[in-house]
Amino acid sequence: MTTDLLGWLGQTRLSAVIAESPTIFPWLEVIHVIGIGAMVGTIMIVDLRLVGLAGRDYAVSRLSRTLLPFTWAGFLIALASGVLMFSSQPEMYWGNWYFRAKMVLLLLAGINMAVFHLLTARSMAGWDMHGTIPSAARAAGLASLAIWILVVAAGRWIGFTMTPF
Amino acid sequence: MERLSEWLGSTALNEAALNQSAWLVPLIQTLHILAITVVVGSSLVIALRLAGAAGTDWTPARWSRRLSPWLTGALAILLLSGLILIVTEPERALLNTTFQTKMALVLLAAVLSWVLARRMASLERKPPLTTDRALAILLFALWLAIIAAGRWIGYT
Repeated sequence: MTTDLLGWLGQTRLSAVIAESPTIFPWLEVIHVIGIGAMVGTIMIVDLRLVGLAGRDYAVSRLSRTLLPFTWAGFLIALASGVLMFSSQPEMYWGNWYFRAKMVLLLLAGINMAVFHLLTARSMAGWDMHGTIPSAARAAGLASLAIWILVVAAGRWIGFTMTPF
Repeated sequence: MERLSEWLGSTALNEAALNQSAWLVPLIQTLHILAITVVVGSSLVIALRLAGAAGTDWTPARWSRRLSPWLTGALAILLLSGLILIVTEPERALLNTTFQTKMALVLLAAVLSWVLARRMASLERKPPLTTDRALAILLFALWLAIIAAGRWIGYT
């Protein structure tokens, strides 16, 4: 099933165009880095606030609400450019262990975010601006920082372990 | 430049990077990209704040106090990691016009960042001027252009 899908994607016209063009792939990399910059850069500002390391005089709820649209915009830019790079040689990426590690880390980042919003953030009114940040919230911020650093590292390692076109 | 490139190519760090440690270059590039996320995130938030589009609970002066130290730190990491990357592959960088363009843009961005930080520090009560907004947007665009130039060094 997966093999069929990867094989099909690798046979598409889109895949061939990206793989054969000398300029499309580098530009996709540029767009990918810019998307990651907007996403991870804004996430770090919220995470550091959550951990209690910076910006304690900005309410957590208001800080995350004001930055979240730009975090998502960055994510969508990184996702779209990532999918296009993936489609240039799908089987090669799928078989790469750093690519797999990166996908697992992205899943963990999503779970961490969901747990925070569904459980930990419920009590936020009590520590939004003043008061002690609960350890579950600090842990979520620390985990997010660590996961995104590893996502960037895994992504960079993919480029060093892939066979060029 | 050519002699400098030749000399850097014969240094111990160059030797170590190319022969022994397969992880050194990707590790330094990872640090470089993490510092880029700090610069892109910070300059984006600064541009949004001056435009009044985000982060309005804080004055521009307060945002500048929050982000300036991180921007300075990230720039230091970028210069240091960039320097190591040059030593590992001197001829790819120093003799490359894309690299030279990138360095000119970095110099301009560093000067404009300093100017904007000073202007923001005075925006405690008064609203930002059109000049401040234009400067912030120009800086954000400049960083994106620098990222593009950086990526293209490897292809030109």
